[in-house]
Amino acid sequence: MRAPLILLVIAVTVASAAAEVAVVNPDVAEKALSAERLRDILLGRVSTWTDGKPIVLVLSDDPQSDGAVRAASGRDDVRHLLRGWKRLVYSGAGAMPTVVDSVAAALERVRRTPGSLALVAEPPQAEGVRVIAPTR
Amino acid sequence: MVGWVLPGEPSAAHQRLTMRSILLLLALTASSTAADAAVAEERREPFDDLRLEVHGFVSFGYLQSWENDWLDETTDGSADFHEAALNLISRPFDRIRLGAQLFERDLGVYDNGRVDLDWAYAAWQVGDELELAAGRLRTPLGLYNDVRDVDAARAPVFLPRSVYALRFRDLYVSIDGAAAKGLIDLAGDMDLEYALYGGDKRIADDTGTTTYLGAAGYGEGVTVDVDWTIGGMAHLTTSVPGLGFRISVLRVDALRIAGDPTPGIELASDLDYWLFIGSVEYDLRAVTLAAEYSRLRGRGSRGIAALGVSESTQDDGEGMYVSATWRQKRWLEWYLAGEAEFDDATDRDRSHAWRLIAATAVRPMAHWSLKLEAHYADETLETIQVENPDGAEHHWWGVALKTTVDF
Repeated sequence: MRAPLILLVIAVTVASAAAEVAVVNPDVAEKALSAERLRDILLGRVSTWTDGKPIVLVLSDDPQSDGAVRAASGRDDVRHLLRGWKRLVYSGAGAMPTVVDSVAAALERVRRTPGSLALVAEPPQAEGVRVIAPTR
Repeated sequence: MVGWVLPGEPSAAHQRLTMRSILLLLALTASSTAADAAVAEERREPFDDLRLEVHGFVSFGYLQSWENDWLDETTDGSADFHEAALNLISRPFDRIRLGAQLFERDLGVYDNGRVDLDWAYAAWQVGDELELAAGRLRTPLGLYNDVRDVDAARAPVFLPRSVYALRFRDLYVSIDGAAAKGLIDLAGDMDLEYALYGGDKRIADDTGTTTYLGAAGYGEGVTVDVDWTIGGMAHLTTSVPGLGFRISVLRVDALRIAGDPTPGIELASDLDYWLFIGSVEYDLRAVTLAAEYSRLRGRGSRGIAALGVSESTQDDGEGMYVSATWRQKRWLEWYLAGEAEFDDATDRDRSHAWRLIAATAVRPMAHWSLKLEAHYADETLETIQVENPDGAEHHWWGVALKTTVDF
């Protein structure tokens, strides 16, 4: 009975270690981000950083990003998440995220855009951005 | 509606042709924008610097019914079904957001392509817990009232009519006033979203709501006015992932409806209303379950002043539904719902509607959807009687097709 439990704990730990990360522009003041706050940012429920600057969310409309979106937001995939954003935009409750077609384009956009954040499946090898692993 | 055409003034047919040309142009613009994301991204560069965004959508649809007409002469089929919106959103300063949207709709005999200022606001984000806004604001009633025109928000063509009254969109969709809303973290993984709002409600004389009220007995020249409106919404996200509960309350003080059933004779009503909606939504990622219950309570009087006739009147409408949406693939959704509606909750035998709705949504691209919805109804409500003055059948079928492009 103990062996399966230990295997389960190891599996959960490995899954957590390989979990998605947030990539932000270096001017973002936040040094840490909770998983709950990251979820609220992805869902459009929170739209400003703690210093009052607007959060510029960058989403990659790429099936490879679906897993990270599913884990971090609870939405089924990027398209599902984007439909939630359309609800906000067409009802006057928010502004649209920047949408690009690949993770590489998302990282480049984050590097160039103050206040921006992108979600990626694993820590990238990219310069000019900062990686924040959400705390759970 | 027949009207005089002055020399040099465009005819109704010409106006309709012009409107369709504008819609076609918007659709082409939207589809070209959606089709080439890379180009679109480059085009957004200057807007990014200004924190300025332009978005919109265009949709076209077709309605067909059997046994009863519904929204139009739909037993013969009707293509008088299109919507378009164009909005501008700006974030000129940190914490400040400005926005406005124009909305156009033709839904059978209702609205006929009229363009309206849908919403326009200035919002100040004080913090996560508080945002203040003023202007023309969407009202958060139930799970979907504030997004009732947003096709991307759902799989079916129409929201459940038992809770989201189709012919009274103009009455419920927005207020002119102010609102406070926010997100409050609670213990565990729970949080509470809230909204409080209040203001005035203005309904133009040529809206779908006034058109329906005219057909329902108020006759020509229908006007709708209220003294004030207040409301609130609270949405609890529970520690069970995806499970949330919402309550919404709306108070409309002195809703006055007046019209001339016969020339020179004015029929007027004046009622105070409460509307309550309780909602539950359970999002299981690939499957979303939702259920809502709404209860309307109106009390007041109705009469014809010229004849010295006045009587107390009340409105006790009630509606409820359960629905399930299954996202089978990234581009394919299925929807099934059952709903019940009663004109008088205190006497459900008087009139009723039981409906079964099935729909599918295909989304070939992120910005393009195709929808097919079918419904079967066992119905004796006043609305279906009004649209079938020669006698409505209790059992009837309807189908709606709709395609939408957004950008």
